[in-house]
Amino acid sequence: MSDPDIIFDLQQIGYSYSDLTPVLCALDFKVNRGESVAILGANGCGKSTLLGLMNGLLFATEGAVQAYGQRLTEDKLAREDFAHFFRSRVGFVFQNPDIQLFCPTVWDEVCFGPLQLGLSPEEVRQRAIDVLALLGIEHLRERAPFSLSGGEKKKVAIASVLSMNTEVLLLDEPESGLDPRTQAWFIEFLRRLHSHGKTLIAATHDLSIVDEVASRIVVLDESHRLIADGSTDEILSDQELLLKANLVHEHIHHHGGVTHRHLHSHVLGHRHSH
Amino acid sequence: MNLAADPVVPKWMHAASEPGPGGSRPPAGSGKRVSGFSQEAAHSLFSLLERMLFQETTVGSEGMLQSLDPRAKLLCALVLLVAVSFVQNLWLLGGLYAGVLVVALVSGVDGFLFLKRVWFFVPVFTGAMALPATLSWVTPGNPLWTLHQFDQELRLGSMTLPATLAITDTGLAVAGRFVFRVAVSVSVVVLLVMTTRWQGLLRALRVLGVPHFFVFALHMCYRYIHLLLRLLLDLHLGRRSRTLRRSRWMQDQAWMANRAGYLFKRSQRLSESVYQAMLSRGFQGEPKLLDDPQWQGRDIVAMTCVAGLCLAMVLLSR
Repeated sequence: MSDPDIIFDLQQIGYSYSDLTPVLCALDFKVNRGESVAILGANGCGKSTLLGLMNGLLFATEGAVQAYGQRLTEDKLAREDFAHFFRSRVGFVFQNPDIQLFCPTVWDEVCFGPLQLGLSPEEVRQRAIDVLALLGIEHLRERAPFSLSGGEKKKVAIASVLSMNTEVLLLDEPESGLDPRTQAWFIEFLRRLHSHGKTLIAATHDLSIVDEVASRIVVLDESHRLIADGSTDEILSDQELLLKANLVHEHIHHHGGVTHRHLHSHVLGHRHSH
Repeated sequence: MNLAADPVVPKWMHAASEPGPGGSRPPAGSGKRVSGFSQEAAHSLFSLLERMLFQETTVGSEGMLQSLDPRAKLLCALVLLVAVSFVQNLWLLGGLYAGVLVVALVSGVDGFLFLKRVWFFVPVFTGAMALPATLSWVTPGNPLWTLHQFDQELRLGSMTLPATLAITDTGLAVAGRFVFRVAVSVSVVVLLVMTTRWQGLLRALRVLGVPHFFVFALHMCYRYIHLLLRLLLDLHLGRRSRTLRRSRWMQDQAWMANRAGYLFKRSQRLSESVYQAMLSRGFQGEPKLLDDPQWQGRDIVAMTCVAGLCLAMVLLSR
């Protein structure tokens, strides 16, 4: 009997491209209901692939991904009942909004998900109105998504998933493409969603947002393996681990004739002592 | 820090590249062009396609046609296209064409741009068929202008062609009617496209009973064309930014073939990713969409007027 509090259970999963290039190797971790987890790793370590596996869009070449106590397989997700159950619970905001947006207008885009889930037209309309207002993009309602700016597209992509009101949100680089004000607003919004019981799983390499959106961090290194899994404070204070995962680097700077070296990450602000 | 002994920056990067012939003063810019014909032609073609397919400036303006529901406009356009194919009288066709021009101007469409778009297509669609129809060998009639006089009749198998090859009055009338019909039809379609958002047009197709899935596929095609055209233009600009001298024709061709292959692979990956994004949001093969808004009174009036006009034209033409 599976634990009802466990939403995702990844058991020794591996994923390789058809040319056998490994993208993920022997990953093992669980995500509980109501958790907020950040998947940290440098570019190319397999974060997006991992989210794709957790969203049942890709399928592990080794091991198994279980969601809600059921193994995610291509066959299972091709069944209407399971697909409806899973998709109405797990939403995915892609890193590249150009991929995620495929409807003729922003309005259609925001309505698409709830309509596929079978909600009534009135409820779909109300949700779309609320979400557009929430993100301040009501004026884009009749525009074609492809004609929008990068930041606007990202907001529409977020709106299109929020309107589905899934209990789990998978976010691939949620901060990318947003201007600083919207980024700050969105992070605060995610915190609020989490306090309402949503499960958040965000893949990022931006350390500046991690402690805002996650209480737990899973770290992947450049050999596509999980090298750490712990609380946000624990992981962020382990500079050696972050250096190993290529999330911070040794920074050299000069004060007059004095040269300093210290660990540094590209965040909005950073602390160091001389 | 001793810059000359900098261990990070290679020595050759310490100063900018040596100035070329002519020294450090910028040349007048009168040398030969660096971009080859095929590069420039491809860039112009892609830019033109992008402008023609995706420019939405007229669509957003407040004009007569823009205020109508796309479904009403699509139905009116279809009725007009059918009626035009029944009209024989050149004067009626001319009057209809003038009417379309007036409606275009009232709808805030740039007249010059409109004519350019229409007459870009008309010769392409009609040229091959209309020109032979003017000749006495295809359409017999009174010769207006003799092109060539052969010594005797020409025999092609069992067919005999007259010795005189001329443009005839009947041929000219047939070709004129054909060209005018195409011009009116293309004008109606161009006007519809220039005053209606693509997404509205797609929704309108559903009124005609076109299945959701087909409309959706059509929309995806349009979207891919936009994305891939943008990518093509960027690829070209990327090359241009690093082109210092004119490349050989063969190099140009090789580059084009290489980029075509890249684009093919890229579009394949893109289509897979978009499909995944659709699945992720609950898509199970048949997109569900919201119903369209109600018809307005002006839509009914417009459709009635167009239907009456078409009926009158067909009756007058008999």
